[in-house]
Amino acid sequence: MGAMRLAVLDVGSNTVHLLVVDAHRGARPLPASSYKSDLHLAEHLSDDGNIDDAGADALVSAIKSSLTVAEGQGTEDMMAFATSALREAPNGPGLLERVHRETGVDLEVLTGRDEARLTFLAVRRWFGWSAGRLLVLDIGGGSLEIALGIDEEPALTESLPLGAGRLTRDRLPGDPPTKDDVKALRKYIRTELGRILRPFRAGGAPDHAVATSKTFRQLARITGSPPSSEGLMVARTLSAADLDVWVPRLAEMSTAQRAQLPGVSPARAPQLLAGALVAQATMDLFGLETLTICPWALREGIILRRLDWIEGS
Amino acid sequence: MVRVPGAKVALSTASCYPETCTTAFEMAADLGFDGVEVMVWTDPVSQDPDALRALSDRFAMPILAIHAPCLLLTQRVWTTDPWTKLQRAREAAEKLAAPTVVVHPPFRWQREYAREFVTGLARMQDESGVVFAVENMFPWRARGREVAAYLPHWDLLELDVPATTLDLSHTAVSGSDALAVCDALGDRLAHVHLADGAGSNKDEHLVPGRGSQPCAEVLERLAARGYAGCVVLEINTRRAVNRDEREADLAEGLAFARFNLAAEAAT
Repeated sequence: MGAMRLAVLDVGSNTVHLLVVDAHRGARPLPASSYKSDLHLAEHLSDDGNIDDAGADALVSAIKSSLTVAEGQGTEDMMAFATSALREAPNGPGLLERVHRETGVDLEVLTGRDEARLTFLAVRRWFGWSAGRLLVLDIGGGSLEIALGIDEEPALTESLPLGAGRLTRDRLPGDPPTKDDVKALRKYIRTELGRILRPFRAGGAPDHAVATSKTFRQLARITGSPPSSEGLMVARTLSAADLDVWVPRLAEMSTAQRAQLPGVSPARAPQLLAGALVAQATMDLFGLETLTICPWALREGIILRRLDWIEGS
Repeated sequence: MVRVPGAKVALSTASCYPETCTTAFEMAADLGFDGVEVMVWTDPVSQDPDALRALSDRFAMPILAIHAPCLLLTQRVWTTDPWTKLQRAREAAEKLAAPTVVVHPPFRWQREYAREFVTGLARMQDESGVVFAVENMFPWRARGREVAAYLPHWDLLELDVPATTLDLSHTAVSGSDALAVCDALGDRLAHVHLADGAGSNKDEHLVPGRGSQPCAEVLERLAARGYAGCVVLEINTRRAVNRDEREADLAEGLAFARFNLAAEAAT
């Protein structure tokens, strides 16, 4: 078959992100265009975990405007999916219905393990078979995904409720947070990770430890990696030593002060500390000295899986 | 007989934080400093040369240096572009007749700026009478690890720049021999940040005399060689509970500077 334009719509905890791709046999999934709306669903949760009306309205309107953009770009098909924010809200199913009713879009809710698998696929394709046994880490707004394996399909996957947005909202109320809150969060993260560590440690040391997600990219940036303006192809890494000296500094900074840092938007500044604590704990407990940043993640994984189907048909 | 050099003793507005820039000028005048170094900061007055001129006139306190907003917490003050920041600092210094602009070496993430830092600074130096005095910094440490936070280097002896600032809290963190650095810099030493440190991983900016740095010896040595730059008290008084307590620390620092910035006259 010839080329077609595909779109992926990703409803995350922080943003609704539309990616339009020219898809054909053997194509590499580089975006033809990309469109983002800030959503911050985490800030629209009521005490019982439901997404409130304002959050629901914002979601519907973000999807509507994404649809307009996708149609304007000549998209033939759109895959729409949602991650932890909608997965965990008790009123999530009702919201999906409302989205379908008002926009016609069927949002597929991915499980944490699906997220981990698809992200792993994208990372495997980016680095190739020469990367050997891959460990892939992704810190989202709601959850931390971990995957390990030597194939395209990971042998082990895990999804923990350690997303940077969720932890900030639930456990770091102050600005800057109190020392006790930071200490308690550090302990909580390490306890949660400690519970799932064993099979990963038994699965063999990774040849290549890889990180995806905005949180890891921001941490790599403030510790000296090239800015996004230098493109996808330049090497970016994050070292455990750098995180160790940065975490105490981030802990002392207010949100406004963190927003002074390069690559940290005011919208993302609140979650940076929690994200850094998760990154530091994960590197510590998995015994990783360096992470390589991979520019592809979940959205690319979804496109790659879809392209595989085109090829097979 | 003692010989007192022409060096002026100034108060950094950073020494009064969290008090405002305005209060810092007032305290400098009350306590008898020779002038003020303005730390360009989130305080809008510190960013506005016209407002600074008015303060300087009102309190009859000359502005002896502008500290460019190149701290971790002032990355977005004035502009995010590091060269534009230095140009703005130079313009402010020229407008206010301040002889010196204090500059930190680039952070590691400022890759392009770091690559051009030495040559770019030399070029800017050629274009203006204002002296760009690059300040010594330190490696960052935590949990027994050390990383390079500054490029090309935190150490002035590794930087080929014509003018420098020696900070005696930063030498404590880097574990440098302040006297040796002072001697090695020679005529390149244009500016001093007087403070102290006990040698922890934290940049303490203690009142001089309260830490482990050879503050008195550095001042004596400067006096002996007829140092004509500026000695700026840059201490941390954040913990002071009121104005009296803050002023007591500032007065102690000023007295320390005046007392030690003197050498035995050659016979």
